[in-house]
Amino acid sequence: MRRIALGLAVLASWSILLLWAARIDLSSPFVAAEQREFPGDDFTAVFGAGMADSDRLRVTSASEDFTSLQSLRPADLDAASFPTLRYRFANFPRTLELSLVFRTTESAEDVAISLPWPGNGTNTFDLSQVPQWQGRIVELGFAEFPVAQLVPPKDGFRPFELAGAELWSRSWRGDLAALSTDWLGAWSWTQRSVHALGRDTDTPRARSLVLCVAIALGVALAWIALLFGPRSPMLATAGFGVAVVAWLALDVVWQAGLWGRLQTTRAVYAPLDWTERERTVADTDVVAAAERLRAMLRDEPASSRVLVYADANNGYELLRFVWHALPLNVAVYAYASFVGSALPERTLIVFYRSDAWRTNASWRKLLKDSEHLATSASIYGDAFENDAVVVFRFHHGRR
Amino acid sequence: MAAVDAAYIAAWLLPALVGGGVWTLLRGPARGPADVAAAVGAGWLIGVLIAACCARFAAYGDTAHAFARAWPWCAAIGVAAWIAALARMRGQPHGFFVRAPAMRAPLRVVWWLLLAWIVARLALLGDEASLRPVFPWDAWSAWAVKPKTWFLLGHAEPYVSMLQWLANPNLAARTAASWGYPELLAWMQLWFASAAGAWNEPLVDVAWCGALAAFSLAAYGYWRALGLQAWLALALVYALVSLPLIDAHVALAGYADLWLALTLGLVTLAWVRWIVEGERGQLALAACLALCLPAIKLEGAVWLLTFGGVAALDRLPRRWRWPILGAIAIAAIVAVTAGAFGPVSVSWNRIEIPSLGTFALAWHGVGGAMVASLFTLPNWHLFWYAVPVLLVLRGKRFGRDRAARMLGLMLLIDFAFLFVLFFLTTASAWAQDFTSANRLILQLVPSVLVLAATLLRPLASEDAAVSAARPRTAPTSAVPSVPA
Repeated sequence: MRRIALGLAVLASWSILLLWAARIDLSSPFVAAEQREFPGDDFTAVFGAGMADSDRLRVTSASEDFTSLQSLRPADLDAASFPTLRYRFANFPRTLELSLVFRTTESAEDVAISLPWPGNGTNTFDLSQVPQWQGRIVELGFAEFPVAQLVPPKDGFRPFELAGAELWSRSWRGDLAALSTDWLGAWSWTQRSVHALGRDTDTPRARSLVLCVAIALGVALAWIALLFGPRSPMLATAGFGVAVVAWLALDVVWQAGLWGRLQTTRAVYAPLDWTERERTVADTDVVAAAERLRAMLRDEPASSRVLVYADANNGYELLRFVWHALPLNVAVYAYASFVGSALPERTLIVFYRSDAWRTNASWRKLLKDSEHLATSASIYGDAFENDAVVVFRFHHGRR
Repeated sequence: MAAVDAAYIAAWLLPALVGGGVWTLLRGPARGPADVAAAVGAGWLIGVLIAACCARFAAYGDTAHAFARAWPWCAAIGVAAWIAALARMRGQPHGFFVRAPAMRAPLRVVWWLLLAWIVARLALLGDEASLRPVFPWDAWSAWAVKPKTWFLLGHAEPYVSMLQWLANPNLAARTAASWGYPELLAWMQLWFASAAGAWNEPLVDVAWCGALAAFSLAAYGYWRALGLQAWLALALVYALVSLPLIDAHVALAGYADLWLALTLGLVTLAWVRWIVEGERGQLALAACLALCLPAIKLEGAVWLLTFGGVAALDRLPRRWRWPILGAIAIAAIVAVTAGAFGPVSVSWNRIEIPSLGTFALAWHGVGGAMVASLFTLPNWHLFWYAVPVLLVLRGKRFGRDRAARMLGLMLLIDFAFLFVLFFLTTASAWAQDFTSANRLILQLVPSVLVLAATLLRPLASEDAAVSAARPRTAPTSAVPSVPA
């Protein structure tokens, strides 16, 4: 009898926990009272190309910048009334990231929210956690782009189908489905993944799966202690068993996530041999610029100091450029700027994607006696104003 | 042209043979049925560190051929170690192997399932690491800068500060933001890159997976020798390998934190074995590995100090401990007051450590971020929930088991250091923005698992507290097993 009571108590407690985790509004119905359906062929390809196919939109190519966007203009759509987004794709490649994009009457700016990889099933996302999801929605769409920093842009796109989207009013079913997508959804690696998983994206997330599993475990143990006594051997046995199951459950979810991430990597790199893998990076344009610099400086002594400058908003690319420019004796100019005009004679100053050398007065003053390295003998010519790499040899005064 | 050829395969196998010889030499009599696992696993990690040292001294001027220049030295160390080890083993009753008692059928099934899951996880992580070039930020902007430069340049050049670099334009030197970072890992990377015949990051970075696999083997062997049942030892290995942040550091290889964590873990494994079994070789191994910690990453100096301090405290006669601790505390206060910490400047409201920065001392409320990192974000599964429960359930062991007490004390000091760092200094920003805080905690996780294994090991009897008093020739497996 006590075992049945235990089972019922645990089941009831876990159900309440699930409702809390899904942020379910108890006054909402189980099934959404209002639903707006948008079949795939209602969407129009804004960037990239697509064609209607039955009730779907077949997206056949990306735009020149490797992104694609499909959108529609819904009539009379109040955001607050429809906080649950459901979306469905087919053949969505692992190499693309997906974002929801919308505009409201309140703001002319687009809002983009990263969504988990959609796979082939229906996914659900709780928009009530998105602060900008308010007012009238005037445009709604999906944007796709190669997984940032992981997938070379030209390798990202493969044709896929947008099967459709729905917006639901608040319901238990919608909230539970959104929780399921959040907990089990597939996300790509990001630069933050080595620091803190779960903080990889800025997308608002549901309540923590780890916390909920821990609470579920604690609740089960509390019920066992209450019904069988704190010194019952069952507490140790069942507690250990539930803890093992809880850990395994978390690990199965993690394993599925790892598998998904691996599929993204395999889609790009598995067909390549070792040498091609080394050369295949997402920032191909940075590599090209670095190779160009190395070619320009191929006759320089190995000890020549090279300092690279980029505009302040380009820090990541600057460091990547320095990385790809190795083994040049290269460093970031910002760390040397404290010496000002006391830079060593003949230091090479490289402007990476920056025209500060001609638009910034202090730079013009610093470089007034320096030598612009692009010469007519160079295959790159002298018309460098719009080039990714501009090089000066620093001189203190006229030679 | 990069290739998985004989040289690259040899670069993987040689460390296990060399390190395995060193480990076997330093081992006492065969302790457990899994000593082979410990020899191969610990041996590989030890061997890689030896290979890196050999590369540093044999190939400074010819980095592209670091493997070719270093492997004869490496092999010589291995041959010498094996000759000495075999000579030493000749007089031992068990030789190398101790037969394991048969497991009950259900536990055998659990053991095989766990092993399959661990192997599958490592294979998945290894696949990921061996596919793509280095990805995480500091991996390419800091840790791989030196080895890549040296390999492509054909010889090593010193890295100096920006000021020195600019002040001596004719000096053959380089600079980077990470110029002061330790270089042992760089030489390890050169070992694999030169064996592959090219600077090839997938072939270099898959070593991170090798390190985790090697530590897993080592831990299993050590924990079996401590008397843990096979399924429990493997379950603890699984606990480590399943931790998401550990996995992320293997899949996205390139950071030094994992190597530091595993080396510190190996230090604690050897140290605990020395305390429990009295094997002097294990103490020597722990000491040598501990000395490598600052050569892997700067924080390693802190872990070296705490390990060295507690290990020294452990050797002091009990009556001397409090007087000496008091003397050290007074000396520290005097040193702070007099500003006599050498290059490290310490005052009441500020600590300045060269290469690390200046840390103003004040309270920073980062509790929420730390709680999130440990308990709600998917970094650690239920690890940080389980650890306090284990400490409570097995708390009495600290009074009876010297190994648990000493390792617990070391980790207590380490975590106290992290607490001060995150809550009392400007390093709190690392916790607040979810960057370095988790990685510093990661460095201690394998050692926490070593403590867990120590707490779970069967003691001969309730009052057989100080295991060091056990006759040194008695293998652990001979100790009557008490259900953990």
